[in-house]
Amino acid sequence: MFDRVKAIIGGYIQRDDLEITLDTDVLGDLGINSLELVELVCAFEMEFDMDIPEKDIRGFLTVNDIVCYLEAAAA
Amino acid sequence: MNIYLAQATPDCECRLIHAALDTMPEEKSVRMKRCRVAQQRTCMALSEVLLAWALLEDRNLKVRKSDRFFGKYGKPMLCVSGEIIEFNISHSGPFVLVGIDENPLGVDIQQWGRDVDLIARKIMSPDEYEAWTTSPDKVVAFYDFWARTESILKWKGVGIAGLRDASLPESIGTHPVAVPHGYSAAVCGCLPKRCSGVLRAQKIEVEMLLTQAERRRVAL
Repeated sequence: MFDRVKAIIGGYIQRDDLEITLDTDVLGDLGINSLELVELVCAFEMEFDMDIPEKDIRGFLTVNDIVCYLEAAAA
Repeated sequence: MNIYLAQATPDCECRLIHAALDTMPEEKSVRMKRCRVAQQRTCMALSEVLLAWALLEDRNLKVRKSDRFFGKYGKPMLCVSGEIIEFNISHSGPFVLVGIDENPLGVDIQQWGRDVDLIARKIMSPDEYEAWTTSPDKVVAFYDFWARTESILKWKGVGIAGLRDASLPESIGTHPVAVPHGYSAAVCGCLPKRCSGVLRAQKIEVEMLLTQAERRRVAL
C-alpha cells in the first residue's frame, strides 16, 4: 500500500528531490496546500475506486495516516 | 479590513527566514525549517514578516512570539497587549496575502492550475457543478470558486471537513480580491454594506519589509 500511495504522491508533486517516507508530513514537508490535498484525495479515490468523505481528509497529516486509512478501507 | 499582498523572490529566502524568526511562534518555525520546498519556506517566512509589519503600520502593535495562540478549531490567533487581533494568512506560488480586521476574517489566494474537472465534481454541489460547466472560462471560474470557498472555511476556522457547508450568517460576506493574472483570491468577513466589486490589496515590497524588520531588530 505504501508503494502505491508513494507513487501517486510522487506523480502528483513531480519532485525527484523530495523523499517520501511514512513519516512525511503531507502539507508541511511537501508544501502541499489544502486544494492540492483534495486533488490528491481525488487521485486516491480513482486508484482505489472508493469515496473519501471530506471529514476524513482532516486526518491525513502524514503519509502513514493515508496508508492506514486506505488499508482500513480496503479491509 | 486591510488586505496586503507581497511577492517572494528566491534570493530573499535567507533574509526573510532570519527576519521571521523574531516573531514566528516556535511551532511554526519548526514546520518552516522542516519544509523541503524552498518557495513554501520563503512564503511562510514572508507571511510572518508581512504580518508583523502590517500590525505595526495599522495598529502600532509590536507582535512577539508569545502573542500567538490557537482558536477552537486550531485557527491561529493573536493577542497583543491584551487586544485580540483578527488576522488571516494565505500563500500560493510566490504570493502572500495577509488580512487584518476588527472582526474574524478568512483570506485565500490560489494559483490557477491543471485540469480541474475531477476536483470540481468532488467539492461542488450538483447545482454548483451544473452552473460551473456553463462558465465561459472554467479554469478561472473554478479557482475563483475555490478561493471563495477556502476563505469561508478559514473564516469559520473549520478546515476541509466543512467543505460542503459554505453557508454564512447574514452579516458575513465574501469578496474577490484583485491579484496578479494566474491567481484567484477572496476574503470572507464582516464587509461594509457599500463594499462591492473587487477588493484591492495593498502591494508591499519585500525589500521594504526587510529594511523595516532590520530597523526593529536594531531598536530592540
